[in-house]
Amino acid sequence: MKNKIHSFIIEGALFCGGGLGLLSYSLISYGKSFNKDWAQSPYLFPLIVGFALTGLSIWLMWEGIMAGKKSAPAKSIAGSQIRWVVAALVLCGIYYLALAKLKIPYVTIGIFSFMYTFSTYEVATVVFLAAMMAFMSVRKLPILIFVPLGTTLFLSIAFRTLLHVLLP
Amino acid sequence: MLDVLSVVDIRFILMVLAGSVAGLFVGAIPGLSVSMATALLVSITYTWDHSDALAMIMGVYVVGVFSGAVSAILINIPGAPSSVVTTLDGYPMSRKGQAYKALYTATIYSFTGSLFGLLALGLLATPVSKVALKFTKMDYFLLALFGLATVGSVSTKNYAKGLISVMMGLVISMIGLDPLMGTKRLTFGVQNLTGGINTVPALVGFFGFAEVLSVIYNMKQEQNVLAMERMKVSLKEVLKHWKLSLYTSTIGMLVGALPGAGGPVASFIAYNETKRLVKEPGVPFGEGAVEGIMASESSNNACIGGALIPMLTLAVPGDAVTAIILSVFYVHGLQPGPMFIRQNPEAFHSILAAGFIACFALLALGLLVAPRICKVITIPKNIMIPVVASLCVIGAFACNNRLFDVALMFLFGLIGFLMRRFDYPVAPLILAMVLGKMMDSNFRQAVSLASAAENPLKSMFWHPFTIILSICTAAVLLNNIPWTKRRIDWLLKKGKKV
Amino acid sequence: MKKFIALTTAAAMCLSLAGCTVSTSSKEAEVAATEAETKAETEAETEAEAAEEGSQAAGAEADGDLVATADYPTKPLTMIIPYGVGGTTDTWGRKLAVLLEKYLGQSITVTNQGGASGSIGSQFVKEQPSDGYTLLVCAETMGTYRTMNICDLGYDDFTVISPLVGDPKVLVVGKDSKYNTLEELLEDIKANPGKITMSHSGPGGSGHNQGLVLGELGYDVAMTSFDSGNDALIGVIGGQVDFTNPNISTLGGYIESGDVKPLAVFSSERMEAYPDIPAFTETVPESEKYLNIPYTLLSFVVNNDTPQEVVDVLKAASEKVFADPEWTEFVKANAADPVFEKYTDDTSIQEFYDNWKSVICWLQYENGVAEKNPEEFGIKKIGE
Repeated sequence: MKNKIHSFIIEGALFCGGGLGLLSYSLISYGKSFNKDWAQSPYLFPLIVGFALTGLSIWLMWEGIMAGKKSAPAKSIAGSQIRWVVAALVLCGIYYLALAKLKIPYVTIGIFSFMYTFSTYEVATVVFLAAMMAFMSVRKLPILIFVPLGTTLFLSIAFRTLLHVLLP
Repeated sequence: MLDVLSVVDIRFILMVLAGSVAGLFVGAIPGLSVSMATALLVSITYTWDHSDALAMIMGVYVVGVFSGAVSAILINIPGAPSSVVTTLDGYPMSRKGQAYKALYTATIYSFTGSLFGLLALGLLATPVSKVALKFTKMDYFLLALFGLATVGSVSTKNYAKGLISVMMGLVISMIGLDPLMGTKRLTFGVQNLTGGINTVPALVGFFGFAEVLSVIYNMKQEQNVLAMERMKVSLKEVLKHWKLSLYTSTIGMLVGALPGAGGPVASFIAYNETKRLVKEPGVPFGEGAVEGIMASESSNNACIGGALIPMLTLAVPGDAVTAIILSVFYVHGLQPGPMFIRQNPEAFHSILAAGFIACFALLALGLLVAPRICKVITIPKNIMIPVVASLCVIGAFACNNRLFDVALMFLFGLIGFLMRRFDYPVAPLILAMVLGKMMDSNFRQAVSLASAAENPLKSMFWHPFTIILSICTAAVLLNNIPWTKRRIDWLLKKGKKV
Repeated sequence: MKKFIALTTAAAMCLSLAGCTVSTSSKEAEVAATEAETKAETEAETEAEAAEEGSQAAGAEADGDLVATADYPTKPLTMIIPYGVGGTTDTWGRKLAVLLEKYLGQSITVTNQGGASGSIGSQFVKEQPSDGYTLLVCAETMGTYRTMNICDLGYDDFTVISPLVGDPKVLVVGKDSKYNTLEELLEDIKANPGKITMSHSGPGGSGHNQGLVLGELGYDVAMTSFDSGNDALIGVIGGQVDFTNPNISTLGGYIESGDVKPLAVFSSERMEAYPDIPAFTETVPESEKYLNIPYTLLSFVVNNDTPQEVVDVLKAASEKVFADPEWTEFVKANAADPVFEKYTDDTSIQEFYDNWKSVICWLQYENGVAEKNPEEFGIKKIGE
C-alpha cells in the first residue's frame, strides 16, 4: 500500500460498519417484534454487542491515526503469495462441489464379515488429496498414489464403517 | 474414601480401559468430540448395569478431554474448545521440534489435573455445590465476561484486536434461535442457519483450515520438513511446575463446578494466571512455553471433577458431557439431587473409582502413545497439509452430517487465515462463540429479575461474588487498555514515592 | 522414504486404535445412523443397511409381548425429547422409550433437542419422514406455539398416540424464605404488586401459565423466564428468586433434603404421595375454574400423516406400556397425574385437547402473552 493510510484505519472502518449494522439490525428487529420488554427481548444482547463493536473499532481507528504519524502501514498481503491461497481455495471448492453434486453409486465389498462401502466421498477424496499434493509440489509418484489411498481408506473406515457417519 | 474401592473388580477395570482407548481415539481426531462419543455410548449402555455404563463413560470422558490436546499440539486443531489454549504454546513447540516434550507435559499435567478434580469431587462435593448455588445469573454473565476479557489480553499484543475478535465470536453465537424466546436472529432467511452454528466446524475451520491456508501462503519461504528434537525429557524437569499446577487445577475445578462456563473459561483463566505468576518463562508465552501447556491441561482436566459436582448434587450439568451422563442416571432410575450422594453411595463410588482408574489409563496411554504419534510432525508439510485439509472436511461434516457445515468450515478457514495475516487472534473468537448463548440468556435473566426490585442496580450487583467478579473484570480491562494502564502505572509509581 | 514410513506407522497406529474400539462400537454405530440429525440425500442406502441390522435384532428377541407387525418397526427408532436432559419431559420420555422397546422389539434412541420452548425439537420431528420411526414426546407448549408466534406447529400437525401424564405443579419457596404458608405469600404479592419475583421454565410453558393464572386472580408477580424448570428451581434455592412452581418430579429430592418449602399444589386436589401439601383451591376457592386441567401435560405423538397401521402398532404398544407394572410404579413414585387412564379413545382425546387449547390460549392472549388471536387458528373460547 503506497498511500499512507494505516491498515488499522481500514480495518477499524470495516468493523465500525459491522457494529453499526448490528445496532440497526437489533433496533429495527426490536421495533418490529411483538415483545416490547427490553429486559427479555432477544435483541438486547445484539444491541450491546453492536455498541461494543462500534466502540472498539473507533478505538482501533484512533490507534491507527496515532501510529500513522510515526510509522508506515503494518501488514499487507503479498499478491504473489495470495495467488497460491486462491488456487488452493479453488481446489477445495471443486472438492466441495464434487461432494455435493456428484453421485456415485455405493459399492460394498465384504471381506469375511467386515463390510466396506465406498462411494462419492472416497473417490473425490483420493482425487482431491492427490491434486493437493501435486499442487504443493510433491513429485514422487509412490507418495502421490499411496498416501491419498491410505488416508482415504483410514478416514472412510473410521467414519463410515465404524461411526456410521452418513458420508456422501 | 476407601469404600470407593468396593465397586472395583476386573470387569469394571476392563470397562474403564475400553472407554479410555475409545476416548483417546475419538478425542485425537479433529471434529470428533468427547460429547459425541459419550452420546453414542449412552445409546449402547442403555440396558447395561449402571456401574458398567458409568465405568465406560468416565473412561471416555477423562481420556477424551486429554486427547484433545494431541491434535492441538501436533496439527494446531484443538479437539474441543477446552484444548484451544493448548494450541497457543503446544503448536509453536511442535514447530520447533519439541512435540514430544509438549505431549509429555500435557500427559503428566492432564493426569494430575484429573486426579485433583476427582479428589475434590470425592471430598468437597457438598461445600462446592453450596458455593455454586450462590452464583447468581449476573455472576455467570460476569464470569464469562471475565473469561473473554482475559482471553483478549492473553493471545495478542493489541488488546483492541483481541476484543474485536471476541465480538465477532459473540455475533456468530447469536446466529440462530435465541436461547430464551426462540426468536430467529441474524439468520437472514437461511434455513440452515436456524439451528445456529455448531462449534466443531468453527473450531476446525478457524484453526485447522486456516493453518492449511497459512502454510500454502508461506509455501515458498518456509522449510518443508520440521526437524525433530531429541526425545528425552526428564520427569523432574516437567514436574518442577507442580506447585503452580495445584493452583491452576483449583481454578479448573472451581470454574468447572459452575455450569455453562466449563473447560474453555477455566483454561484461559489458568493460562492468564500462569502468565502473570511466571515472570521468566524459559521461552516467552505464545512461542512454546511448557508452562502454558501445564496451565491449560491441568485446568481443563480438573474441570471434569468440578463439572460432576453440580451434576450430582443439583442435577445441573456443568458441560455437554455431564449433560449426557445425567441422562444415563435418569435412564437407570437414579435421580441426582441434594440427597443423591447419601442415598446412592454405590453409584457415586462407581463414578469416583472409574475416574481414578481412567486417570491412570490416561497416564499409561499418554506415555505409550506420545513418542510414537509425535513423529507425525516430521512428515513433510506438502504431504501433511493435504491430509489435514481432508481431516478438516470430514470433521466438519461428521458433527452434523451435512455439507453446509463443510462450506461454513471453508469460510471460517478463510476468515481465520485473514485474521492471522492481520494479527487478530482466533482463540478469543472461539471462546466467545462457545459462551455467547449462555451470556445472552444469563444477562437477560439478570436484568429481568433486577427490574422487579426496588433498586435494580443494587439487586444486580450487591452480592459477594458479583462484586469480586466485577472488580476482577474491571481490573483486567483497565490493565490492558493502554490509555488507562499508563495512568494506573503512573498512580502506582506516585504511590510508591509517597 | 523414512518420512513415508513414519506416516504409515502413524496411520497404522491410529488404525490399531480404531481396531481396539471395534468391539464396543459395532452396536454404537448402528445407533449412530439413526442419531444423525440431518439426513443426507444418500440416506436410502444406509436405511436399507440399518433395516437389515434391525430385522436381525427383532428376530433375536422375538417373544410373546411383541406388538410389532412384519412391516413396522423393522429398524431402530428415534425419540426426540424437545427439552434438555433431566427435565420432566426427558424423565418421562426416557421411561416410555425403555418400555416401548420391550413391546416394539426395536431399540429406541432418545435424543434431546432442547431450546425455544421445545419448538426446535418438534420442528425437527415434523421435518422427518412420516414413517413412524421418529417419535416425539412433547409438553403442553405444543398447543400454544401458534398463538405465541414461536412457530406454526400445533397438536393437529401430529397424531396423538396418547396423552401421557400430567405432572402436578407445586408452589415452592426457598428454605430461608420469609414465607411459610401460601396465605403469607399471596398477601405479600397483593401488598407489593409486581415486586415479588417468580422464575419459570420458558415463555408459554406451564410455569408461565401458572403465573398468568395468578395474575387473573389478582396477584401480580414479576416473572422471569429461566432455561429450564430445574434452573428456575435452583434460582429459588440459591435465594435469587422469591418463588417458583416446579413439577413434582424434579422436586422430590429437594423436599426431602429441606432445601425448599412447598406451599401448595397448583391443583384442585391434594397429591396422594404428599398429602400434607395443601391444594391451591383450599386457600383460593375462586381459582377452581382454572385448575381443573393439567398444566403440565406430556403427550406421545408422531407426524400426522403417518400411516394408520403404524399408528395402530404404536397405540397398541403404548397401551401395553401403560399396563406394565414398571410404568404404573413409576407413575406412583413420581406422584404423577395419570392422564393416560382418562382419555383412551380418539374422541375423548380430541375433546380433551380442544378444551385444553381453548383455556390456555385464551388465558395467554387476554394477558398479552400470546401475540396472535386464538380465533385465527380456529380456537374457540370456552362458554361461547
